[in-house]
Amino acid sequence: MRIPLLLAALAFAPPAAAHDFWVQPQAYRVAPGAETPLTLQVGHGPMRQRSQIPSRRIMRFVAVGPDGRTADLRAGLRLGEGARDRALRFDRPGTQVVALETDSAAQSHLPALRFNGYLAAEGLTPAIALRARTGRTGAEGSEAYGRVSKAIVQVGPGGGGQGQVTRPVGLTLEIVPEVSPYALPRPANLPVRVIYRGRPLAGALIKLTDLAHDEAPVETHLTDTSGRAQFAMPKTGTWLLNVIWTRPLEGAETDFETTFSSLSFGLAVGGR
Amino acid sequence: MRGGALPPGLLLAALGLALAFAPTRAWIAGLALAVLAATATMFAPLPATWREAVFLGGWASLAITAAATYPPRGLSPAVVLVLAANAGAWAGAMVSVAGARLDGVRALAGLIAFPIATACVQRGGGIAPKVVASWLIAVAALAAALPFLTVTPGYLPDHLD
Amino acid sequence: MRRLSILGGLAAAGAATPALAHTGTGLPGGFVSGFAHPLGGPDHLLAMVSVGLWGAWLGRPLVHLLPVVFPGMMVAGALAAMAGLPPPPVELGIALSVLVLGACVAAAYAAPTWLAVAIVAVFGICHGYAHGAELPSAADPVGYSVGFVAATGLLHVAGIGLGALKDRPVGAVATRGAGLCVAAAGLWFLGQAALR
Repeated sequence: MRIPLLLAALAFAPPAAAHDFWVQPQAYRVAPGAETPLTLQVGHGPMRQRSQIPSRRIMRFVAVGPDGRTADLRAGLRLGEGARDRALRFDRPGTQVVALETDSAAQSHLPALRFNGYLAAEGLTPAIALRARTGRTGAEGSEAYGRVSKAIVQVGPGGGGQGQVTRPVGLTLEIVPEVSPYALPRPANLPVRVIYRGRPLAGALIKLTDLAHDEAPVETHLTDTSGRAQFAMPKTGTWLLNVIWTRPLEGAETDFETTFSSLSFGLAVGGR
Repeated sequence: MRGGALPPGLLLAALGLALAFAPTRAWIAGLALAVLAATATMFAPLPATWREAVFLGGWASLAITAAATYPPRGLSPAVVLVLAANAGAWAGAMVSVAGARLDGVRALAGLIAFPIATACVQRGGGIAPKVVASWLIAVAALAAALPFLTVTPGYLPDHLD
Repeated sequence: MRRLSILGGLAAAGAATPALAHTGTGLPGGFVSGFAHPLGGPDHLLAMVSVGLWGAWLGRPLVHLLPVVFPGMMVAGALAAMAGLPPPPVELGIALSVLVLGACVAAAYAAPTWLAVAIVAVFGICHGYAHGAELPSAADPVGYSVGFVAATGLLHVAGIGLGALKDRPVGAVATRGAGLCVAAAGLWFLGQAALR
């Protein structure tokens, strides 16, 4: 039963069944002192919607500036109220990395076929192998999951120090660009590292999605043994990188603890 | 997909099977009453929070209506009218909470079971509609059980929190 | 069309591994997936046709009762799977159903009503458990349910139609020969299931 179910899962893995989460400013390029609304988004294609996550689940919401200083943004969060979840305003020019982390209190319980399809679609091969080894491929799958998300916002003209973009900010599962997409001149490629609990993560599936046409990713890669992968730098538009990873739990309410991680940024025409 | 034309269509098909065992004089009244009841509930502004309760009622109604093919002496006109009103009401309600108005029209196709079942009964093949009715009861049992699962059913998206 | 061609490929491969009939629905599953499910595996297909075939040999009331009992108990098995109850030996049960039902047809076994119902009921549970494991994943579970119940019923009816040939010249030999072939297939499925 295990092999056929795995084959079935691989053959019928639903596209984008697991819903990604990201921080989306209305504009990724703002003038100093100008306000830009921000929303928390979840889902792709027809399922895309504003996240209904309650504020009590937000553990960390910060902006890391070019001087390395961290500003706490939780105070201004108004989740689910009005047309925006928060307004961003940065008075000084530079590149800001907005980072958000939730707890892992959300739970998912999926029937076997759907859970196996989700694991296959998101490249969570260690979980597939574990379920096969323990004879649980035919069993329903349960997870406790949390979200981490970064957005890169350019305040004022581009260029300048980008160290805060290429350094980890300390999230559980983090996509760290090795070059900033806002660097001038714009790099031809976008190499990234994936770090999980402080260590490079090999074999993780990273997807690059055009947020204007997000039914399916435009490019995907598996990280190598050093946790690295490389994408072609997009030309223009708003973009999302995302990765998911899971670890088994022992003696817990759920089988796995999963982290959904994303990084969004916006590019203008002409490498600006 | 939670709604659509299929759930109310199955209910009207069950009614069609049951009517085949009803007195001829009750056919027109039964069909008319079902359509009227369906129209009334279809246009009723039922709250979305009633969705699961409405579908549970609809599946119970499907099972009861299909089971109405089994009484050995057939159905009395009064029972026919109650069944018809019940089936129509729940069919319309299912469209109201989870379907488009056009689904109510499409669901009427389920009534094609009535002339087919009637022809079987009149030719001494009444067992055939009863067998099909048993299949409808089976489907109703499965559909009614879905909301009680501990897992996210396939018509609901996952990982939205 | 891609889904059906994959299903067709898996169905073809299912001749070697009967459990591949359990190809599931994935998120887009509905009526077509449910209808195709019993058809996509030779073990399911042979068992369900054999129910009708054996019913035709048994005559009234079983020719009508078995096509009611099997889908009904199939639903019971599906509900058990959906509820997460410990699985019966599904693959063995399905393989055994093909063997036993084929043998009953080959032997033209006139089982008492209670025994025929019991045999069909037990096997219905095994088949239903396999369907029920996939039902919760279907995006249109009502359509999926209608599909696999309808396919099951129509396979029974097809078996009854084949069984009607028994009253024709050489029809009895032909149908019992078919039963023998089904039983042989069941023996092979059983061996495959036992090896796993």
